[in-house]
Amino acid sequence: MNRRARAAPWRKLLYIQQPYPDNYTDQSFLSQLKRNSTVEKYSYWKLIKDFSLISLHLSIITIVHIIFFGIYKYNWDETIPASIASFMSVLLYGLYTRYEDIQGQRPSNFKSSTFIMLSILTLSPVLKSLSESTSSDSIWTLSIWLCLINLILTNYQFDISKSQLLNNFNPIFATNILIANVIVLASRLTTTTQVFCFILFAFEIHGLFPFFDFWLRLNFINVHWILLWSLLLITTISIYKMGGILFLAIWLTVHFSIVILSPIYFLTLQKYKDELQGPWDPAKPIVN
Amino acid sequence: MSTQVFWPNDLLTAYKIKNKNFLVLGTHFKKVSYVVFNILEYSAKDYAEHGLGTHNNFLELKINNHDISIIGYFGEQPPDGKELLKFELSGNQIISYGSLIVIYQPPVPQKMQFISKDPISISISARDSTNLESDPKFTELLKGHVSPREPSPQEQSLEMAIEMMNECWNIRNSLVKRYPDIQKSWEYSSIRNMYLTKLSQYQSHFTNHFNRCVAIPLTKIILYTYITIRHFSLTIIKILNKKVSDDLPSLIELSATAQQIDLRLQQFCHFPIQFIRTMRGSHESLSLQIEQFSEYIRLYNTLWLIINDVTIGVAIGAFLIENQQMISSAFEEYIVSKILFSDLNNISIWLMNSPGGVKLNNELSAFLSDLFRWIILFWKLSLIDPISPFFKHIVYILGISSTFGATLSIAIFSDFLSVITFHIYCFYCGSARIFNWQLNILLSLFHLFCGQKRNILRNRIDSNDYELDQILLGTLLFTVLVFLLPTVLAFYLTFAITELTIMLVTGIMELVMSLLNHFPIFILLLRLKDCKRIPGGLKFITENDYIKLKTEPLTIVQMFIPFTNVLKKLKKSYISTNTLKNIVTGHPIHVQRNKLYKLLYSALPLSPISTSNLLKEVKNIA
Repeated sequence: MNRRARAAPWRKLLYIQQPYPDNYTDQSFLSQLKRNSTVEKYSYWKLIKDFSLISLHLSIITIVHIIFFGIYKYNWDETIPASIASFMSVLLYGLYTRYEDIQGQRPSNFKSSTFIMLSILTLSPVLKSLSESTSSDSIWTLSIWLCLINLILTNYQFDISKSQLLNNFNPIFATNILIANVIVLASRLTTTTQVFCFILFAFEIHGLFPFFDFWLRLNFINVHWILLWSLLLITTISIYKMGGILFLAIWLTVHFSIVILSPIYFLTLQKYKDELQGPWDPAKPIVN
Repeated sequence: MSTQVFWPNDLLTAYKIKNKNFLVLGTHFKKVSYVVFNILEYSAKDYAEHGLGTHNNFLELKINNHDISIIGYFGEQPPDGKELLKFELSGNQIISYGSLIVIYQPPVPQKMQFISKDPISISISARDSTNLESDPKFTELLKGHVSPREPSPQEQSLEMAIEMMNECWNIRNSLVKRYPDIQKSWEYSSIRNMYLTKLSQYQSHFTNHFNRCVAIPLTKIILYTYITIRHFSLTIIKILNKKVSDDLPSLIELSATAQQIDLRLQQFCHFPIQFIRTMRGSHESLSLQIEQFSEYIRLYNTLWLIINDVTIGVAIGAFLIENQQMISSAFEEYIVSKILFSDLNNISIWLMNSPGGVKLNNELSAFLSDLFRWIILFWKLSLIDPISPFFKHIVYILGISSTFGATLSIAIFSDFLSVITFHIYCFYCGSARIFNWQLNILLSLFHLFCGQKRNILRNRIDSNDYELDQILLGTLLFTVLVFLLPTVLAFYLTFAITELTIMLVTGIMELVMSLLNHFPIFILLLRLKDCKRIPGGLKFITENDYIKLKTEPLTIVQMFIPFTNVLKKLKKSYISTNTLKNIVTGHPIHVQRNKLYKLLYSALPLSPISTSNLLKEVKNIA
């Protein structure tokens, strides 16, 4: 290599004939590389806030199952939870429309909710007999799997915009799996009234509650926290009453690990984050 | 480029005596290929005195625009014969310098033999043109890749040479007729021939008298009676093929009996035309004569099959009538009461009570099972109970009808089976429909379940935001239908299998019918008796130092081409992925028996020939 060639600086331009070998890599080659430019440093409290939503969702699912077992095993009056949930739904809906100033939607919402209620009423004899010949164990297994899939797929984003609220915030598939779970459970009940009341209750809890909760988070964050704590309290007490100390221990451990331990683990994982950015287009792997 | 000489194989040993002079008679095509018919002895002395003499007249004999002339010689060269081919004997072999001798066997037209480059058409060509479709396409594709080759002059003249070889015996006969003193060099003449000619003289004398007094008036009466009957049967054919509207099937498509009657009537209407065509005299041109040979084969194949059919039918009919009581009671006991009634009843009860441990929905399976059992009961009360006392008569009708051929009784029985199993067909169609609907609904609800929607404008699946009420209701229905699917599937599959079994039984009956109706028995026997009558192509082989032109007989596969086509179609409509797909998606499967069966009508024209044309042909022959 002669001196004149050394003198000419290497430039990152392919179309120029340069006196360097093909496999030559200059010192300046990666000078524009940036690392972790968009990575956000999370605070522990924010993470706890986010993770609490998982806990809330878990509580909701548990409440539905508690009500189911109450009706199925302990012959609870099925009309009480359904009436309470319906009353609460109407109340919250009234508040929501008043606050958001969208009273114009009321007739169509009323129509569709009536329609759904009537169709549940019509189908409840069919639903009652749906899985009659199937054994209970397979139904419980199916239900557990459906709940697990739903837990994985649900959207646990804490802060959402208003436009997200009006559109679908949760993946449709996740909601559908919960509904299917409810129907599968309902098919084990013995009377048509039980089926109807349970499905109505579960639809209100699974369909409407997340929506109201989003609305509350957006506007009255404190009400959300009160609601969360009261729900947790109710479920914890019910689990203790129905399952005893063992179930309570499991339940509390699960919540503790979700809300307290998981954020710590998440923070420890963050140091491994290594995101590269530069003036080039990142190559996208094509997987067929 | 050497010339080709086609030499008849009966002239190979005719002139072993050496030192004699022979003239070779034949025809040539542009002096490139020659066909030899005959050789004549001549003496140089005569020749010197008279020149070619009478032999010059051979030049007057013209066949197919080709002159019969002297094309060569053995021994001394005749004067003015410089252009003639010189043949010699080398050992026992005939040779000629600069030319290739190919031995051929002159086909005997009286024995309906002929040589042909292409296989003889056993079927009427218009029908099987569809079978050859793939071939021309392939050659079209090849054309672009292969530079065109001009066929050599020998190849070009091969077809004409084959024509002349077929004419060989006709030419020899006309030579003998014109010049009675000509030598017959071929090894053919015998004493028997003399008697035969005598006999034929007496025969013609007798027939002359007979014709004038009896035959002609009788023929006229028969002809007009026949034409009346023919008109009648043409009307029946029209009624059988009539379509009331495009959606409704014609009678033929519905019933095997109508199909069989249609076939027999069409054959009946076609017989005289076929017969007239086989009667054409030898004065006709050769291509027509060859057409006549294959028409002859077709006609006698059909006649033979009908006679066979009737013979078998009479035997079966006798058996049926003799054991009328036994057969009818066995049929009622085993097929109607047991298989079609109590077995089906038991199957539907079994389906109701978790068949094979599969847990079906109790309510739905009870409903479907009750429905089906009610249909069976209704069928039994309204159809079987009224006609069961007449089973004996039905067997009797079968016995009588088999006098007209076993096929007819098989057809009637097949139709009878279709009628008495109609309830199964109905339930099969019904359950297929329900299953199909359920599958379709499930598919679109599954899209909803995943938050997707079919976009028919772009024919793809798009994601879609559903409203909460849509999601709730859709999923509710989806779950219900998923849980009900196994029940419907179990019922659907059971009846699909039952219906397929019935289809199989009737299908086998129709296969037997088609064998009885269209089996190429005459051709098969001709293959054994005289395979030169059914040429399937040419082959050049070497034999005794000569190159020999050999006629290959029709292969067995070629004889059964209509059948293999039917089998292919059957395979396509029964054992294919498409059928499986239809069964899985719940589309009812139909076999278009009519279209399938029409393939076998290979010996019949597409539509019957009109009466005026028939009369024209009759006049032509008279």
